[in-house]
Amino acid sequence: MKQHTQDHDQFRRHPGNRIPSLFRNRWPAVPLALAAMVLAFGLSAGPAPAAGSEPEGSIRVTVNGIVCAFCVQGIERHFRQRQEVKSIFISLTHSVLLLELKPDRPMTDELIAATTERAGYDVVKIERIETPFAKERERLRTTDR
Amino acid sequence: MSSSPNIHHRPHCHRHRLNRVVGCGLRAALPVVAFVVILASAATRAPAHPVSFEGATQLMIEAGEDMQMFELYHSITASQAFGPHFLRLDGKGVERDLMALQYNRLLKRWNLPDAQANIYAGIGAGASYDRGPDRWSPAMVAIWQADYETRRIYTAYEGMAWFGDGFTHVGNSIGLGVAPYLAEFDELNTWLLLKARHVSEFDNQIEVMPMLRFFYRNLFLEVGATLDGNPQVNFMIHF
Repeated sequence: MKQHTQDHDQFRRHPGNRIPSLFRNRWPAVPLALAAMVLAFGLSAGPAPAAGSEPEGSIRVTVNGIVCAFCVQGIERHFRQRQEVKSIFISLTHSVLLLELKPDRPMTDELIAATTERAGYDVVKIERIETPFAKERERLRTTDR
Repeated sequence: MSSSPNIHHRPHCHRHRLNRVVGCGLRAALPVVAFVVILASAATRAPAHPVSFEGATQLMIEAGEDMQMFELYHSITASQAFGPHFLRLDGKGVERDLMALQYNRLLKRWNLPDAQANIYAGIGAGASYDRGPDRWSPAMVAIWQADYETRRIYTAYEGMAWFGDGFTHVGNSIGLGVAPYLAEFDELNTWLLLKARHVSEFDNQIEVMPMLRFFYRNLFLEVGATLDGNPQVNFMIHF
């Protein structure tokens, strides 16, 4: 036992095995800080949907004339100002505006068309689809028309 | 044993986004294509529409060696906007500041499945200031503009006329721009342009300006130069 203690002291005294001064006497805080970072990352990533509460579907709006990314900023601006809208994604490749609405916040086709027209564009078709927003957005991102 | 390298290589080649857009063989030739496009095309400020979306305010600045322009328009609807317009001519025997409060209107828009075309017009009233004789006088301005654009090409014609005491400056510019790759809504968009411009009673010659245009979200930047080597920078933001 004594030999073990001596070995341990010898180990600590070796310059290469010293704990840096910044962490000396504070090293228990390191795992706590790591835990806090993991927790913060988890919170910022948003809560995972609970089992049985699948996200609602999404609304796929086909819009004519959306060819210029700089010009269609107005569509995003106007829809983001709507209280009903939770998320929006625009695909120039598919000429599609994808909407996710907040729960219990319906938006009529007429309102969607009017909001699009305020930005200067014409709605061709509005489809309410069962595919969740994130999944449909990924599909629009990764596929050609 | 007859093997076709093309068949085997194509899937790998097409994994690259640029290759899917322009084709595998063309990718290697892109620098040459870009150079030819710059030489063969002409372009104006592509998305610099004088009317933006409802509620938007847009700031446009053009800075060249002998001509600077400042425009700040607020769009009250998607088809009407108003705001101040300043033009400074400095050189070639003319030292004149022109300023007006301008009203712009989208006369007609065609929203097509893969394209958009627009016709705009505007009119304003203000003043001119000749720095040489230190003289102010009333002035008027009129603008007109037509454009057609897809995600790949842009064509436009812009006209502008300033009328004042003893002068009439009529400016015309035409252009065509080409996007070397198709960018999405939330990506950096790049265009190759060449603008051709003429302003009467000022330079009296056609100025040709190869330019590069970038826009990302609500920021827009064009950089280039005239064939004489005079730099030109155009900037726009809407908020």
